[in-house]
Amino acid sequence: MAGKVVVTGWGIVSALGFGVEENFQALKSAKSGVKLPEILDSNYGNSKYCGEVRYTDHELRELIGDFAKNIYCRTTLLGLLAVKEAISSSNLTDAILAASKVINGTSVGGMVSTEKYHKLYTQNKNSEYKKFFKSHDCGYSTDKIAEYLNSKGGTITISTACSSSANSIMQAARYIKAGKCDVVIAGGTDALSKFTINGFNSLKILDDQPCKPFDLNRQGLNLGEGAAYLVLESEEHALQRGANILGQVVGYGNANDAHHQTASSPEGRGAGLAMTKALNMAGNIIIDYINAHGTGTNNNDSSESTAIQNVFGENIPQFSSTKAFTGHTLGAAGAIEAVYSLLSINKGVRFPCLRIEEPLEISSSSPILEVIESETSAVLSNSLGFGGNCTSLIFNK
Amino acid sequence: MKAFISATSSISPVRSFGVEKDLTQFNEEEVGYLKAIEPSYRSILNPKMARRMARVIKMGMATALDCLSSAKVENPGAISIGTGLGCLEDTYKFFKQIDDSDEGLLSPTSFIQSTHNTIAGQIALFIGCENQNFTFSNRGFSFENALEDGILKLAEGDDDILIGGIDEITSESIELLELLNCSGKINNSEIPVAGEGASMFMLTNKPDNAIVEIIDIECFFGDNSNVDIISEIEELLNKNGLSEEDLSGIVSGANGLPNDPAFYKSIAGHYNDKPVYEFKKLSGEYFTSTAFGLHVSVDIMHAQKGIETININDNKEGEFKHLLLINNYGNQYRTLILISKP
Repeated sequence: MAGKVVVTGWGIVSALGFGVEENFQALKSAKSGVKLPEILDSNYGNSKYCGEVRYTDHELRELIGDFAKNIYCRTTLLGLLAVKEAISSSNLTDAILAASKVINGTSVGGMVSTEKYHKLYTQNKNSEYKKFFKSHDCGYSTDKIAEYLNSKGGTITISTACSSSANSIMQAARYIKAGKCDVVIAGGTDALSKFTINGFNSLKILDDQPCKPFDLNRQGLNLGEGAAYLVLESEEHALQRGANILGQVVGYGNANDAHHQTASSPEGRGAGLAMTKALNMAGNIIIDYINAHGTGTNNNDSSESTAIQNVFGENIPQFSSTKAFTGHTLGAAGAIEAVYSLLSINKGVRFPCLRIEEPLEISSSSPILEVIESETSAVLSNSLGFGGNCTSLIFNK
Repeated sequence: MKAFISATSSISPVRSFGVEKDLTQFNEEEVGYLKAIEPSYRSILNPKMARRMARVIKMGMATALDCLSSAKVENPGAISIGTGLGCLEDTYKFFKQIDDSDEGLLSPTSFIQSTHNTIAGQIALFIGCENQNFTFSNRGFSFENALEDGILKLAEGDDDILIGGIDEITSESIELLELLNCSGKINNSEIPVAGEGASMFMLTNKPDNAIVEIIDIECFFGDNSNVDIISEIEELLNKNGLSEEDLSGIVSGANGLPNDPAFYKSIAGHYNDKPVYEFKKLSGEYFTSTAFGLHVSVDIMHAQKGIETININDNKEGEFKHLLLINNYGNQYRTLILISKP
C-alpha cells in the first residue's frame, strides 16, 4: 500500500526549448528565454516580455506527428509535445500505457483558440469555428493526451490556477500511494493568451522588463508558456520493469492561504503550511535547494520569503526562482519546475536567479546568483496560485 | 475504507434548495433551457459580498454553507469542487472587455474571479479553511474527480470532506454548447436539454450521522457505444458482495433521446422489475450533472421514497437499500456509483 513513488520519465517544452536537454543547457549557461513574443497575438506583443515557446502551432504539429493534424489548440499541442518526450524517456510499453492514468493541470485551457475566433464567430455565426471552440474547456487537452497515449486508466484534470500542475503531480503520488494505480502521466500545460496577458496587466503585476525574482527592486512577473509531464510510478512497478529512476517524490502538501482571492498573506501562511505538510511527510530530510515559486511580484516574493523563513528558521536552504528563465507559465509552472528540480538532483546543479542587483535575503541567506555545481539530494518546489492555492513538492534522489 | 454522506445541498432547475423542497417544481422563468432556481441570497450571504459574485459562485457558496451547517461542520478536512466550465460569466465579461477596448486599460475584477478555482477558493476564504483545496475541471468527470478525491482524503485519515459539482449557463455559453452539440435549448430535440446547478455533499468516515453510504464508484473513459453494461453492473455488484436482487432501483442519466448511448436502453429493458429514475428530466445536461444525480439518489434513499415524476416505469419499491447511479456524458464518460442505506 504505502510504497514509494518514483519518477521514471520526463518531458518538457518551454521558452528554453523542447526537451529536457535543451532546457538543462539553457539553465546551466544562465540563458533566459524571456524575450518579446513573436507568436502571441496581442497588442502587448511588442511591449511585454514573455517566456514564449518559439514554435508556431504548425511547427508544434510537425514535431508531434500525425496525431496532431486536426488539433488547433496551442495549449494541447504544447502538452502533447511534452508528453511525447516523457513517454519516450520512460520506455513504457503500450500495455502499460493502456492501463496508465493521465492527470493534467491547466489554468486557462484552450482560451488561446477561443479568443482568436469568438469575435469573428459573433459577427458571422459561421459554424466552421466550431473546431476552435471545442478545445475551450480544461478537459480537452487531457482527453487528447489520453487519446494520444491510448491510455484507458482514467483521466483527471486539475485547474487551481498557478498551482494546477504541481497539484497534478501531488494527485498522481496520492493515487499511487493508495494503490489505486501503478503508472500515472502527470503534469500540465498552458499557452500564452491575450486573456492572461491582459488579466495580469490589469492587476498591474507585469514587469515591463525581463523580470528579476528575489531582487529587492523587483517590478513584477513576465508571463510564459509551456508544458511538462512526469511519468510517476510505484517503486515496485518501476523496479520490476527495470525502469530508469530519476528521483522519488517523498513529500507533498496542499494548503489554502484563506487570505484573498489573488494576493498572498504577508506572512505566507498557506505557503508555510504546504511546505510543512510536505516536510512532515518526507520525515528526516535535509533540503539542499528550494525551487521557489518566486514570480517576481512584490507580494509573492516577500510573502514566500517570510514563509520560508518561518519554516526553516536560521537554516535556510539555497533557493532561487527559475521564472526569470521561463516566465510564469501559470498552470504548467509546477510541472516545469518539477523537471528542473529533478535535473538539479540528477545533474548536481542548482540554478540561479537572473538579473539580481540587490538580492532579497531570507534571514541572512541570499538567493542563488550563479550556477552552483554541487551534489543535490533533496529539492523542495513551491507553487502558489490564485484562490490561495499553495502546493509544495519534495523530490529526493 | 468506508465513505458516508452526512449532508447534501443542491440548487437546481427544480426546487431542491431550502425548507420548501419539491423536486417536481420547475423554474417558471421562460429561458428555453433548464435554469436553476436560485434562493434569495440575502439570508445566506452578505449582500455586499453577494453583489460582487457571479451566479456560479453564489450557487456554490450557498450550497456549501448549507451543507456545512446541516452537517454541523465548521472546518472541513478538505474542499474538492468539480466544475466543467468554471466561472463563465466572469470569463466572458473580461473577454468582452478585452475585445471592446481592443486590449485597453481594464478593471481586474472579472479576471480575478474568472479562474476555475474561484468557487473552492471563495468557500475556503469565507470559512477560513486552510486545508487542501482542489478544483477539477475534467469534462464529464469533473465531479467524479472531486468525489474520488474526497474518498481518497478519507482514506488518508482526514474527515468531513466537502465536495461538490457546479456549472452555470450563460447566454453566450448555451449558444456555443449548442453549436458543439453538447446540449442546447428545449426546442432543439436532437441534443440534450442544457441545464445547470450546484450540488454539495459532506463526506465522512463516521456512520453515526450518515444518510447514505457510498459503496463504490467506477469511471470509464472511452467510446460508450458498445458497452455490455449489464455485465459491468453485475461485476460491480459482485465485487461488493451484492447481486442484482439487492438493487432497489436505478438512477439513470439518460436524456431520453434517440441518440442516447444504447446501454441506457439495455438498463431499462433488463431492470424492468425495478424503478428507473431519469434525473436529467429535472436537471438537464451539463458536465457536472452526476452531482445532481447523486443528490437525487441520496434524496430517494434518505426519504425512502421514489420520485414518481421521473420514474420511467410503474415499478415501486417498498424499501430502498441499494441504488445504482449511472451517468454518461457525450458518449465518452461513463460513471457508476453504488450507494446503500447505512
